[in-house]
Amino acid sequence: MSHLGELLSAHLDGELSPAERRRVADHLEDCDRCREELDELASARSAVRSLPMVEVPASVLGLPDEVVVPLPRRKSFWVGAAAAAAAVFIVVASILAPDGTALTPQDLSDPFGARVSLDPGFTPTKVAQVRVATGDFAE
Amino acid sequence: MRRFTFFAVLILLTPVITAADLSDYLERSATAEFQGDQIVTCSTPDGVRDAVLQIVGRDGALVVTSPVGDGRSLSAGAGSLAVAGPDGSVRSTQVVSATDGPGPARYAIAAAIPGTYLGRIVETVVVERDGEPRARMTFDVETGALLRSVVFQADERVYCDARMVTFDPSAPEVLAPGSDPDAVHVLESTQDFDLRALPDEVEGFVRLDQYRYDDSSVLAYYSDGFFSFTLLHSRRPVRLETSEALTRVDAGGGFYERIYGPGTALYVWESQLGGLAMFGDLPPDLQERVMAGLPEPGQPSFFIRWWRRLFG
Repeated sequence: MSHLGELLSAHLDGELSPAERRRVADHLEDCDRCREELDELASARSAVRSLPMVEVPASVLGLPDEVVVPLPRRKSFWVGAAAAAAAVFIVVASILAPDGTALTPQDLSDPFGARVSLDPGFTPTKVAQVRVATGDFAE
Repeated sequence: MRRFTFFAVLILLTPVITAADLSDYLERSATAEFQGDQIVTCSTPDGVRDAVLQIVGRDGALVVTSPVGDGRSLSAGAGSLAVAGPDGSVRSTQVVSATDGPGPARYAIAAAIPGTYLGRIVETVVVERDGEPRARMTFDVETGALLRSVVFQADERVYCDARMVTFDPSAPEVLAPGSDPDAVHVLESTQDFDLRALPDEVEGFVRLDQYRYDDSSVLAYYSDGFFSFTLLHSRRPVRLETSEALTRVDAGGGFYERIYGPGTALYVWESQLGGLAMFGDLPPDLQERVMAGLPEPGQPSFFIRWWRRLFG
């Protein structure tokens, strides 16, 4: 006569089909050993369920002992004000700053004419062209 | 009497005929005293540029006036240039502590041809750069004044012809534009500046001097012994304010803005190293070669441009 074995545990968990449940019930009526085994299993389960829940230590799971999760901190008013002022400065400065150095042709031809007058190659042609090129003498 | 005249002329001509190189002609021309009218005509890639000028040479300085303009005049000499406006205002630029000497001597005289021009005894010389004729210059024998200058491109086409159409060897007493001490822009030599954008030498043009132009800019002067240009480098972006038409010249990753005048060209562009502007009297083919040796045009990143705008 084969005993119920693993079917007992499934029987307690209510996991058996109706046919299996009938077979287990028929067997338990005639088998003292399986009845005792069923009683032991039921007692053990009750004992386990009566134990308090204990938190598993992090070290058992291979995790750091303590995980610090930074909570959003409230920024100081002055930090916010400074950031806002900097942003305003950048925007205003970008608007007001000139779009580069403005040059006129004279700004470049005048130094050329002054410097070239020190050269041995200083001729009327050189210096006259300086001004003509700038439009000063243009019609 | 004839023999005396011959020897007298020979004695007069001797200092010029024995002039050994170009610098002798140019140095004598720079101190010539005369007055006359000059017409300048230049064929540039952007069209013909011309001008009519009245020129007086006296005491080592030149006074130039435009009879067709608004009456402005300028005086240049000894490192100073003053421009007098029709309203009497004067704006001056003074260069101090420049490099002495002629700079590089790349040019040689290939021929010296005697002749006459405007009824004057003249000598015409052909000036070569590395064996290529780049100019033909006609000098008055008596005064040393330059009466005509024809500048050639590399293919020997004429770029500019500046010729006196009247000439008087007696210079009048002229009043050079005065100067308002408060309006003088003094350019002092400096070494205390980032010169990465200003090469020591480019296409035979040697950087002779550099001057602090303003707090964020430096101006360098280059010469190859005949042609010359100034190159301005600014840490800030540079833009040109003018009523003249600008030509946009594409150059690979960026572009130049260009203005041609009668005998001069002005380029302005933005580079990775900052704003740059070049002004000089180079013929177009030399301009192209020089520009190829300078920082190429290109737009820096937005952040760099923004930073330069604010802080230079």
